[in-house]
Amino acid sequence: MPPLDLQLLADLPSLALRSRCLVDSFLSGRHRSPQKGSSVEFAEYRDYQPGDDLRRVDWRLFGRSDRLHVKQYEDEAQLRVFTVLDASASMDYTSRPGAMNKLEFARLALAGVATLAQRQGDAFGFGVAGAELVDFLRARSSAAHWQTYIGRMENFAPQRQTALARSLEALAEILPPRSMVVIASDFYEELTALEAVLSRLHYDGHDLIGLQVVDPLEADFDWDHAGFWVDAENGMRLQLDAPAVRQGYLERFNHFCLQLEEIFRAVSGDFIQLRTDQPPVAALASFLAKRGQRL
Amino acid sequence: MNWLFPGFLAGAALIGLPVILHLLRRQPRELVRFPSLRFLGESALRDTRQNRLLRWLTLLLRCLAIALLCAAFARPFWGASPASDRRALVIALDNSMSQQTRGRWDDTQRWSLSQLNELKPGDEAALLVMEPEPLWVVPMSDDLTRVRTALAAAKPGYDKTRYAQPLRLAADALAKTDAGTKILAWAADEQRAGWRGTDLAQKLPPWVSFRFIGASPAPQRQAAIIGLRTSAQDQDKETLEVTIRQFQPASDKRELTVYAGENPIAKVTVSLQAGDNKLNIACVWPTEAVGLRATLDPDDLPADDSAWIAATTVATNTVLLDAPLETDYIAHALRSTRKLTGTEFEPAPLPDHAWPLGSPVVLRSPTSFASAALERLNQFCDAGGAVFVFADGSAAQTDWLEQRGVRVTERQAENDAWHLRDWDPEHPVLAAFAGQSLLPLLEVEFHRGFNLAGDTLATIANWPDGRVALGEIESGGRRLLIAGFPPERAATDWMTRPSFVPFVHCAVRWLGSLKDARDDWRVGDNIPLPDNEGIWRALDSPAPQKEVAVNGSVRPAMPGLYQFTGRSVKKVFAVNTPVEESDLTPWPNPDQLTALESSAAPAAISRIPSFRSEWVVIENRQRMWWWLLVGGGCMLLAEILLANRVKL
Repeated sequence: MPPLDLQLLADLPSLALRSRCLVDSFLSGRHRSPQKGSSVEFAEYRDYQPGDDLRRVDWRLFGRSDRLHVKQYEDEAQLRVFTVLDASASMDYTSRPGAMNKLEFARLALAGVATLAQRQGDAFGFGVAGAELVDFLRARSSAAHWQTYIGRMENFAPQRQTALARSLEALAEILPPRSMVVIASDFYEELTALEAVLSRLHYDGHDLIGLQVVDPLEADFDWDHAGFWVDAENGMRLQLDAPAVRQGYLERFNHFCLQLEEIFRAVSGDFIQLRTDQPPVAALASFLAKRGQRL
Repeated sequence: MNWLFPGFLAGAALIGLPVILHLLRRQPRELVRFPSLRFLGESALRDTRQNRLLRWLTLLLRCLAIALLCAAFARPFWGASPASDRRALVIALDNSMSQQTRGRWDDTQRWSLSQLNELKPGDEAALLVMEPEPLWVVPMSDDLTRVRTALAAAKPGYDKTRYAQPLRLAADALAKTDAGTKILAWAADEQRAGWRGTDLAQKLPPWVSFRFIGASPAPQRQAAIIGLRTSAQDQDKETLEVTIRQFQPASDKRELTVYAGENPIAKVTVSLQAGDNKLNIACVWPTEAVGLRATLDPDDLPADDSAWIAATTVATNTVLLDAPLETDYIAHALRSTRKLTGTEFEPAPLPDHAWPLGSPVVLRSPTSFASAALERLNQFCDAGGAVFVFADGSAAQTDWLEQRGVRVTERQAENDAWHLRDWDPEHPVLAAFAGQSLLPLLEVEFHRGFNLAGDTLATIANWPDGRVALGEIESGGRRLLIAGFPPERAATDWMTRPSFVPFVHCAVRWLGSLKDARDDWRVGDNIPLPDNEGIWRALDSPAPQKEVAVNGSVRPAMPGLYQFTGRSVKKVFAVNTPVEESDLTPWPNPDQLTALESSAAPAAISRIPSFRSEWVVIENRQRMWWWLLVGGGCMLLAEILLANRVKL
């Protein structure tokens, strides 16, 4: 695989990578934790219970109400961001010779996510989905880990066969709860299986983001003559008259995309389609900015 | 199927354009790698197959639209084969008497049928019989059966052979047709007498192929009775003078029988030498017999082995002339008939007593209409005498003519000479010109003349301004012939022209019916009759004939003995075969006939089918172009609708 163009990552704007879920972590970060701690950010009052630290009693309130209340503060936690890269053969595709293929595009987008996490002190790791989970990097937040992350990202080969759902299933087994899982794939998978594993991840408290990476030819099917069409994954051939099948293809493809979006929405996740003819960082930044406003 | 504008069919080559584009469009066969074909399964294959089918359908509709539109502009129609493939055949059938020679008619018919059998359906043919006048029995038509039937029904006649006119008529008919192959089948025996007078240097139109049978075999035995006269010996007996012309062999012995009706009254064996043989046969003419027939025993051409003579009283052959003012051209013309056997006229001065009714009178002088002559003239006319008057403008003549309903006014002199026009070629006074060109009459120049007018005046010829120049009054079987000019050199040059003598002969013969006295009328002659209306009946002829009603004159087509029955007159006529037709000698140089075919370049007549008016009529009637245009439009509309659904 060609090395990542880190210059593109340098152009990544200052965005906050925020999680929809409350983050449960031993390390402090920018994210709210379900644990109330000694943060400077006031959270709520509660009645004094025997054994509470008397230092947390709000004596002023006691003076006004003659009742003992304990002040509680938000505890900020460190976010764990796991990026999942689909390394299937269908991702190793570009319709424009010389241009970035889907896999490279996805890798760059995920590296961007990792960069954002690293900037705000969150831990980040990754998994590579093939016929099974072919690579996994535990989440860390150190600068050295970022180098490791980038290095591992550059060193794997596209897989001939892929089973995204199975890879995610394997990942779900080892992921700590309440992580952010960013999946970059074309999601050419059985939707029922995918829906099941995403539901499981959601049940485990993970915040899910789906980045559907598509080539312009996949999205528009703008091909004007006949030929033999070859499936990149299984090698199947079809003699097709592209203009004649375009309408049917687009109907089915768009329907698939809508179903995907529905699935992610069902698991409270976010979903975006990224075209490889768009600047990857800009598209990602735009998505994250909008997402940040929504949260 | 034919095309009015076949050039538009070349537009059908445009069909190649969509075909080529279609085939070129199908060429790409590249491999297109694609991430996943999960959205391009069976339905995509079905769409592809459907689209391919629609594209073929679109191509078909485009080709059909182009083809139909081209066909519509080419204006197709059914009814005739393409001119370039078609053959046109004219069979010119010589049905003259010489074709009755043993074996000739069968050979001619067989050859003609063989020519006809070479044609295929869609070809055209016509049948032209030559005698007595060239006649299209079947005009140019694709109905070959009709031609075949007419050919089988044709029979040889008794007229003489004349090839010149049928040859040009047939050639003209072929020149007008636009068939690719034009054939003139000359079904004739190439008799020398028939080709005589034909301009063989004048070629047939280009592309006309001339086919002929060739000279027929010479007969083994041929003689003809060419003359039959009687002269009275005494009250009971007459001498029958028979002239027999021997052709083949050089000498022969024949039996000659003279019949009165069906009864033989004399029979002799005669020795004949080559050439004319005059024989005198004494016979008793039965009192009840109206005519005699002399017959030789049959030879190879039996038609001329019989001759008839009518038992009519010999009328006077004297023509009465008044004293002319200058040269007596009429007398000269009449005396010239002395060279003709049995048809001589004898000019004589007007007698001082009553003019004989049997003699026609020719009047040219004003003195004939004055004093004593006028009295005899009126007496003569009232008694039924025939008068030929040359107008001179004198007061006496003008008054006399006005009493008989003819007004005479002198024409204004002009610098240019006048030429008579509107000649009535059917009139007996022009019998000498029957079937011939009237050009000799049209060329005659006149410088002085008189306009004739009258209610009962029948026109024979007009002046250039349409006023009558030569007319006739007939009343009660009596005739008054009036010429609106004097026979003087100052008035006309007709007397010096060759056409004057035959005109005078016919006019005098017509007026006096002097021909009645002849015993040698020939088939093809126009016989003037002594009454305007009557019945013409054959008393004795080689084949039965029906009675016919006739007016003024008759032209018998068969030899025999005939009786004319008018209102107050009954006369018998003998009609014999044409003398020259008995000579069966063929044209000596057949190469001249072969050379009739033109070797001219085809510039004059193109083989490219011409625009024929009858095609336009047929095409307009069928209007196939309209349906083709509608069909082409529908194809275009369907193509547009379909092309919008086809992904190209």
